[in-house]
Amino acid sequence: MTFLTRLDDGSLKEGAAPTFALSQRGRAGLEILGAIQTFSSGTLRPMAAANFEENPQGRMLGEDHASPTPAFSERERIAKARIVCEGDAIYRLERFFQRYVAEENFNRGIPAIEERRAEFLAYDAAMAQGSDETSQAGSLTLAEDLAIPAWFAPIEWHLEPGGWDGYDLYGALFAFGVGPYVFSKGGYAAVGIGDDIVGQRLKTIRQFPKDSYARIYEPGCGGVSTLKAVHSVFPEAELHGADLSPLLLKNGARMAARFGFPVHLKQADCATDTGEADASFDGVITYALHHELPPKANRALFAELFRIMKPGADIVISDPPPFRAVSMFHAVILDWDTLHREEPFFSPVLHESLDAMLEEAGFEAVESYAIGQDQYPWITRARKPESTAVEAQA
Amino acid sequence: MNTPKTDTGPDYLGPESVTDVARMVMALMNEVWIQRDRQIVTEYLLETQGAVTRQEIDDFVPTGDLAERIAAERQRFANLVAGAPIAATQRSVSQILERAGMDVPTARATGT
Repeated sequence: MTFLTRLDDGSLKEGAAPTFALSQRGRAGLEILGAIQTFSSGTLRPMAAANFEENPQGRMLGEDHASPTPAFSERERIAKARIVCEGDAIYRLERFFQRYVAEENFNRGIPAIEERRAEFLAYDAAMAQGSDETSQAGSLTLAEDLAIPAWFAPIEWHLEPGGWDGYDLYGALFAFGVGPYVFSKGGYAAVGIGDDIVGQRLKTIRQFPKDSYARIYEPGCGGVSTLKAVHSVFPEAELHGADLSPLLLKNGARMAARFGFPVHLKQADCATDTGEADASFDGVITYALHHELPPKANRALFAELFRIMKPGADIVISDPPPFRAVSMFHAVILDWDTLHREEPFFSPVLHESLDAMLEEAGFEAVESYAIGQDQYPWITRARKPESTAVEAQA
Repeated sequence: MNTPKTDTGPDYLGPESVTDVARMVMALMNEVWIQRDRQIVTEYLLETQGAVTRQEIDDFVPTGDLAERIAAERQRFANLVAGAPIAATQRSVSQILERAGMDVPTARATGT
């Protein structure tokens, strides 16, 4: 699930003259968070990783982690490795900075955007006029009576107060504050230091094996950042997305109109019912979604996606790498997010195999691999068979 | 409240509050940087315009060379403050200069 993380005017449609920016205080207060994060992940983390490798217990656990016949289970290894890490003052300092920046993204970011509410609303209105949103061929369907899953409702993802829908200007906060000033530096969660998260999306979309697609679907589409990347790679494709959050969908519909591509957005619990017809999509993309669902919901989601995909359709997934794919030290780093950055399903999902879940759902040609540093983005892709067993018997 | 006594007086916060103190230090660091950034912006506007209003400073968004200069100064500031704990042990000439955001001179000059 994603939100719009960068909204530089240079990528807006021609004629989008109005600009918006945070105040000097708001900008500088967030920019220093980006610098702290850079120091934390760029300087301290390599030192902590070296300390872990030099520790005899850390080295033993690393070798066990890499062994095809490990002595300890994955959960046991991570628990033991965490104790080694937490004995290192550099690791503790690095984690403190990570947590501090994650908290301050909102502690600093919300006042920074609230201070400019009037200016933002004026900018937003001017942009709406300029983009002629009504002329776009997209659609937005909200479902006020939608049953929100029990696992979703109480979570303040990434320490975001009130969750995805907790503050009406979260879209602006990410687009004009946290996105350009903090997230763009990388070095948080699974994102490597200096990584370009916009470029990572484009690189992910290019993992689709065919040259063109007629209809592409994205569950958990959030603020259409990924669908925007899909449109740039497959401009001919008809785009559909769904999410549980009405605020993200509303922002996404506005942004799609302004960037000039039609998209059909629907509020839905994709793990139970997308509301889409059988065998109606040629491609499915998911981006940073599955670690935000419990494993059981992921299995249900894959079954539902399988249903709405045409025979021969492709699915491409980008999510944090499974623990088995990263070093022992990095597994501890990823595991930390579960308890410390409000990601309750992060570790449960990283212990699992999305490959196996896809195969259980009936997909074939399942493969997974990394396309960036620290095994991120981790790509998993598969295909719905041209004919299923049931069809073959008929 | 039963406040434990120490050699230097009552220990109001307790040893477990070191993270709270670190949060206070970080909040101060952020506020100091905001002022430093404002000073750089103010100096720039005075140099380029001769006079400046508070609103102009509030609304100013650095670009180009100025943005790069501020970014370098910001990273140096973050490295020095957030890196203060490792400065106690990472004390070679090259480490000190790197933390200060300065070029490391030749091996001969640093004695390494």
